[in-house]
Amino acid sequence: MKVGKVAVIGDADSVLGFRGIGITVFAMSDPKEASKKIEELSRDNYQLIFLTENLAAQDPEIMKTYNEMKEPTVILIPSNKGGANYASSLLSDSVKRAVGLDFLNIDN
Amino acid sequence: MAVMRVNPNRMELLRLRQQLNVARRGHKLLKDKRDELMRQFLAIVKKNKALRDEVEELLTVYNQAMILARAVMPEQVIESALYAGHDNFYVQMKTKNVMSVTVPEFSLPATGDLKKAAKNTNTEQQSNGVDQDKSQQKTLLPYGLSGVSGELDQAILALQQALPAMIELANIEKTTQLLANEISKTRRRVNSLEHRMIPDLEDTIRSITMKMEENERANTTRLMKVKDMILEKEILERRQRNEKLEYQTNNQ
Repeated sequence: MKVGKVAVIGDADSVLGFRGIGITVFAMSDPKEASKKIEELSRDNYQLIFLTENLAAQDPEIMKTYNEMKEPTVILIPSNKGGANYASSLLSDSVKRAVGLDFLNIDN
Repeated sequence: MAVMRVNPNRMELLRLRQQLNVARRGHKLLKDKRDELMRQFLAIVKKNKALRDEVEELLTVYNQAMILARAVMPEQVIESALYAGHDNFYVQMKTKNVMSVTVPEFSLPATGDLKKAAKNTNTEQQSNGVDQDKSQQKTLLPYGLSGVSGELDQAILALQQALPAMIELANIEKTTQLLANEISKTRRRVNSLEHRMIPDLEDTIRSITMKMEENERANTTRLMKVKDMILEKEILERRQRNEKLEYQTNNQ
């Protein structure tokens, strides 16, 4: 059983609380900085990285890159400014890519 | 109709036929793989959506609590309270094999560790006869309880409640993404076999067979022609011989 470190990246207001449960927090608001940080963290045995949606939405390349890689796992979380639904739209995209049509939104 | 540039001989024909066989078999296998991947993907993607909604809801609770906490306490107090603890959180990680796609599987560390940590930091409260459950919840707060208002506690507790769902979401979402990649890769392979490789091979094989039959026919006609020529020559010779013989007998 391997042990992986966990980090949260996002704007300070949204992610500070994660310190309270012992997760490493990197507060930043620049997507370029964030993508650099993720790269750095992935070399440093961070397996699970939570990233706020509004940061990821500003640089689509980040999620594009890490969704194809086996590790690290980068997962989007809503920031305190509301989700902006970026994560859901990414999910729909991957469904579209895999199935050929987006049945998630058809349901709604 | 695209015929490959190969020499139309028997060797090539045999080679291509074998290749076609392999391609057909591979196509069937890949198609089965794609169908199964799709089945698993559809099952998991619904779960993913539900889980994401759940996590978003839970984190909204946390964010609201955090805003309240900010309203009642100065920023510095919150920061110092939160930075008091140490960041020792880690997840356990296994890998799982879904249709030969390796996906990570995270899980929270065994509760034993948390309990041990809880005991170390909170023996005092327990000796005061505080309810076991309650003390356990409180122990997970990294800061002292004096000077920090209850709103921050609410935020942290909300986050703790969200954490298992977040870990689960991480598992599911990564699996979804990796499966989606695998499906599109497999589908590309199936399509290229189905629409490109197999028809091409079939066309080439047909054209080689036709070419070879044509050669066969050409050979036959050539042989017939040669035979005709030889016959003609023979007939001519015999006629001349006969004429000569006739001439001799007439003279005698």
